[in-house]
Amino acid sequence: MRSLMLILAIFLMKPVLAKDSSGGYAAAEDAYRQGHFEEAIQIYLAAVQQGETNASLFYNLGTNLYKNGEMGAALAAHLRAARLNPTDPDIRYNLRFLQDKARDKLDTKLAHDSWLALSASRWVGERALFWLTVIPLGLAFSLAGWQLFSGRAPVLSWVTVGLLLLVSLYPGLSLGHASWQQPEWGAIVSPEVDVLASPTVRNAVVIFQLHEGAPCAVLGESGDWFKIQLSDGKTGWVPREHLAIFGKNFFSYQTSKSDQSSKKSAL
Amino acid sequence: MARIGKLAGILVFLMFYAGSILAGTVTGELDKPEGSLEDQFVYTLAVQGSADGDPQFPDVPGLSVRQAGTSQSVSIINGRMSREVQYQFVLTPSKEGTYTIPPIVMKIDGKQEQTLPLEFRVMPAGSATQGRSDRPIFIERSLAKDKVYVGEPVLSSIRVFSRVRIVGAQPDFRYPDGFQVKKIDGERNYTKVVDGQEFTVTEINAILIPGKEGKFEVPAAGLDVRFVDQSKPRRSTRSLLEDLWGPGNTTEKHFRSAATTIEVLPLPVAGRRANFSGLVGEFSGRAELAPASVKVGETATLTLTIQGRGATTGMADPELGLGDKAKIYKDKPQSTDSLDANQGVLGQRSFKIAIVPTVDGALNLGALNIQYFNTALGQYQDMVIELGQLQVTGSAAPVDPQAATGAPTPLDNKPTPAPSAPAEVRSLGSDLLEPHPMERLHKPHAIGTGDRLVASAWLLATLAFLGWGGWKHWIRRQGAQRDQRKKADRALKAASRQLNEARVLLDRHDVQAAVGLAQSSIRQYMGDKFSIKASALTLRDLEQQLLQHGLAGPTVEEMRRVWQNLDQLRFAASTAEQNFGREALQKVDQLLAEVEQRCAH
Repeated sequence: MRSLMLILAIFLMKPVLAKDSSGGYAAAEDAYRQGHFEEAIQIYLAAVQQGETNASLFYNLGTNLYKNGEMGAALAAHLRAARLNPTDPDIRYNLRFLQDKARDKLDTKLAHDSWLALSASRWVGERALFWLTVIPLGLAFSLAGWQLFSGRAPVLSWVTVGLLLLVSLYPGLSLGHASWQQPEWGAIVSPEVDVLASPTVRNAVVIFQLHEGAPCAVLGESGDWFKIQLSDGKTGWVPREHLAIFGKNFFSYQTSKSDQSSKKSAL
Repeated sequence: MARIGKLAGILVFLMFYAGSILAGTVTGELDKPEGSLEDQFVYTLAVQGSADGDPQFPDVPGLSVRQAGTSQSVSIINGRMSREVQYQFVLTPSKEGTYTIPPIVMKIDGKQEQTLPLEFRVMPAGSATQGRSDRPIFIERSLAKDKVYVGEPVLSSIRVFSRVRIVGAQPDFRYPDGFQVKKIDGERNYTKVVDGQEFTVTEINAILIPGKEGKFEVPAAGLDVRFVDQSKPRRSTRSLLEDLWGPGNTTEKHFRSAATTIEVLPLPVAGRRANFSGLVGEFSGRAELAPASVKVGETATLTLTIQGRGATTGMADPELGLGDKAKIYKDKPQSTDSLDANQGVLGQRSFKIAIVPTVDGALNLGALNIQYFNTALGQYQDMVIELGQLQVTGSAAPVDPQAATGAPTPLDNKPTPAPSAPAEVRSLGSDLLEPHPMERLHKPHAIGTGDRLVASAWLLATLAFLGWGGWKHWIRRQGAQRDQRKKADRALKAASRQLNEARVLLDRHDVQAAVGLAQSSIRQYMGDKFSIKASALTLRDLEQQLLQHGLAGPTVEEMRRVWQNLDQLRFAASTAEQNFGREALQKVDQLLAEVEQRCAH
């Protein structure tokens, strides 16, 4: 009971304990207006590293990254923003704009993921899906409990319980698909990078090449390497520094502005 | 047989005993005490005894270490068994000098053991004890220039000299950071005599374009090669094994070139104008205008072509200063930089600019002055391109310049408004949307701990409510069943009471009422006993209930007879007699007792 109270207290005190980031965001806005994009990027990155998960935060980060000449990282930030809030028209516009800019015309969804077409995660964010699952489920439990408690159980009530369970099932399955089946997406930040068959420089075979702004799903990591998959199903390994990703499970960002012209080749 | 048993026993004893009496040792050994930067050194660590874990090779500055493999051997010498594990490390020095490998400490059989420190000397590349012509394979890496300007392409060549049959090779060709690398497709193969020895040369070329100033080290080019080693014994000529798995006398070895350096100079500030094009190399340009004569509102296309030695990808767009006399629409420039091993990068960049004049008369486009940096001269130069003159004769259709080939419209002194851009000229003036205001940055969009806590509390509360409701329902159901059981237990007593009342009525000669009460008592009994509604039960219902509850046919038959007998007495009152009634009540009594007894079983 005491630990339950402690958890509740921490939860209620969270807004008070959390660092007030309004001042930081205002500074980021000023920095953007004055053309100090690197400063704005640092502020937004600090907020991201503190665990902020707002779609507009990633959107603003991506906008500043693009203005700073980091097109690949900008696309990665917008991909994360679109995952959090898929319906935001600004995010969708910028995402399309950045994809048009990229040399490799690749999609941001896996072609073999047939469930994605049915999933609600294409037009509802994961937090909304979560509550769309939890609320009807709780209502169904409550209604069933009330019927059992009162002893009055008209058929219509049980039909309502069944409908509520079905209503929670669709967002629940979509959320499960988004959480466990859909990979996180990043983007290539180097002008050109060789994608290898294995996470090692020695004895590795170059499978294909990607260019800055190419979106790729990250399937896993091994040391300083990311295993990536393209929308058409091709997989391979790229060194961590050539990929930007702002995901929940994978995070990698190194500013690429200083050595824009260098070709990143593992061989 | 007994002898073999004894021998086996001794062997087993030795195996267990030897491990405990042999002291563990660890020794380190280098394959050679000195070599050049092109060489690799093999360090063999031999461990005798049981070691805790694998050895860790110490960090030695300037030395990259790769574990090449392990081998184990067990031997029995003078009745003592010894087990040895050999770890091989391949050491690749990155600079010349004397290296010291510190002692490697390991815990063997519970005791700390260590190797002796080892020293070896690395000399500059090319100064190896073994001459190049004596080697089966060697690699050269060279740059066309060792001093270039930022943006100036430089040819990088890697040459693999070989005089043996190479079975397989894995290259490790790295390029310095800060350079754009453009690999030239295809390899050049030729033969060359080095110190009287003929070598086959494979040349791999690439163009490096430095992006920043500074002094850079071009890393050594490495190659893992498996080649036929003539010094090893081979399988018989054209044997089946050789056909299947290749020659048996092969050796695997790593070769590498010496590292080189390159100095990248910054473009001089002196003489550089603000509109410097960014071109570095030697370039020339030309302009073509088509058509040379248009009407007001029609489109003429100016094609600018810049070409020469050097990359053109990063060239800035040229600016035409036509003021209000014409509208200008630029298409996306096209760059085609081809690579050549002899001439480096041959670049060409084309700009297509749509010019839509807004006033009539001769429109002088003037000359375009493009500044570039000439690397041969080491100074900035101007490339002047004459753009020509455009004759504007009159007004075309106001909206669609494409359709303005028909009869010209009368001249108007006022300039016509500029039409929209023609279809082939794409608008490039797009950008990302502005960042969101900070008010939108506070709402979390991912599932946070708070969400999880609230959702867990909500689901737990509703589940608890469901459980409580279910428990209440169960309790209520248990109570109802208990009541039902009590009712069933008392069913015979209640029926007996009714039968007694019927007997009293019979004594008063009210046969019909008595018989009706007797039927009612049967219904009541069955209703209580089987938890069904009693008042509407018919004879058929009663029979079905008895059968459903497992009562045998004779009982059901008896039931039917008694019921029909009661019906006769009830509806034939004139013939009714008190004795028949008493007899019928007696049968009802017996029937209920029998049902009660059978149901109890």
